[in-house]
Amino acid sequence: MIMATPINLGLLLMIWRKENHVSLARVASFLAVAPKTVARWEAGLAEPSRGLRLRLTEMMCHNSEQFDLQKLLVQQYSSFVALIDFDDLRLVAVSRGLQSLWPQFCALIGQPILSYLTTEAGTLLADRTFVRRVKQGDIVHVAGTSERFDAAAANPITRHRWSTSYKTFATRLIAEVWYDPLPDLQPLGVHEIISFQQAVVYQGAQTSVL
Amino acid sequence: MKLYHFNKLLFIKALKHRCFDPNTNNTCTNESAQATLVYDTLISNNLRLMLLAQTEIAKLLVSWRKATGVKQASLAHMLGVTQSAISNWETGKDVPSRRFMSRLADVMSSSYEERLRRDQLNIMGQTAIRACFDLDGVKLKMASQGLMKAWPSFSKLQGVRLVEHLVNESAYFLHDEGFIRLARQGEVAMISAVSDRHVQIDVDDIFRHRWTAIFRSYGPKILVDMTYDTCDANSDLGVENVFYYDDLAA
Repeated sequence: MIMATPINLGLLLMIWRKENHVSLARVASFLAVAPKTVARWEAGLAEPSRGLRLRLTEMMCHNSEQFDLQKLLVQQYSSFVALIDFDDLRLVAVSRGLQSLWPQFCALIGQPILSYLTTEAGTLLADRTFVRRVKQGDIVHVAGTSERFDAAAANPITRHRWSTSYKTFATRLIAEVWYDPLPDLQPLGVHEIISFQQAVVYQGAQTSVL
Repeated sequence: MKLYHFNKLLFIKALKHRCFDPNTNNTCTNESAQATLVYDTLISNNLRLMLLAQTEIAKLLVSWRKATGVKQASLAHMLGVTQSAISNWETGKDVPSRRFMSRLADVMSSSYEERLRRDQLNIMGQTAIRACFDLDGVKLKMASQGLMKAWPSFSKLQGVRLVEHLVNESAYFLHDEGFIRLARQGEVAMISAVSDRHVQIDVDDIFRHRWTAIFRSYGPKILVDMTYDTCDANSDLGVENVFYYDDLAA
């Protein structure tokens, strides 16, 4: 241990925000907490929880090297993989395998993929508890089975298994999704949610989960 | 990606809230694990470089080694440098490069355990064929659901030293002492190749595949994160790419 010393994280956060012109509301939305809560940390009236302290420090320490590496890695895969920004649901990078499997979906790089969401992804993202726990770094992995990608059926997609990991790179929260278009015949739905604190919190096949 | 930065003076001001032990003239070491964790995480990346470059890395290193009982020789082994390099840092004859500053902070910190656990949960949940190996001895540390399905017997070899059994493309890299040293130094980012097999142990079905290995440091350890990918059965065997962290920065 180099220096086992407590630091004033609230003060650091305030300095970091001013230096980098990041609004209080932006930090609050990034961590899925109320702006009032962030203001209380900065004023020294409250302390973020352990999980949130980790997320805050991750946020303040930029990690562009690791993010570039992750994009490069995903682009190399001949499997079917996509990186999606969890905050604005923009497609960040796709593997070369996915490029040939779902070219129209991959053409959306840099754009939001809202209209391509499956029923299962839509249900999870509409679940505020789920979104909060992902943003706060608790839920690290989700897997399930879905059918087709977009309502307009630009690419006819049959049943596929997907498996999503959440990773943070500075203020970015990135979902790394692996698609498996030749699944064993599993029922549709979310099958597994893995939490950092509780290991597996959910295993089953319904869409209503938390 | 936008680069975030701190104003150094303001940062140091914020750090003045740290507490000092007047008896030893050192910072308190009996604080809660949580505080340690936050501090360690905070001085990662550019922050820790900035901070460590300012403070005396040498003093930190000596007191850390004293507290943990880590010998100069074993630290030199971890970092892939000579023992005299460590000694020169500690006596202030030489200053570690940017890369080593970051490796040192990583080795001395304890936040890596949390990162390790998170990455482990991530890999275990994956249906892709993925595994993580300790660079030291090439021991299997983490296996994905996909790996357990594709190579069930291999996935049971957790903790077994595989380095002596490596063949082909894996052996090309991991039997090369110069390469291992670079990896320990935190220089190697990623390699990719096409192989039929990695170990000379007949356990599971063999099939041609592309694999990608990412090298990441977790405190004293370097873990090799392997993804085994599908490929054309006629793909040529051999090494495809080697990326160094310096290439990424360029």
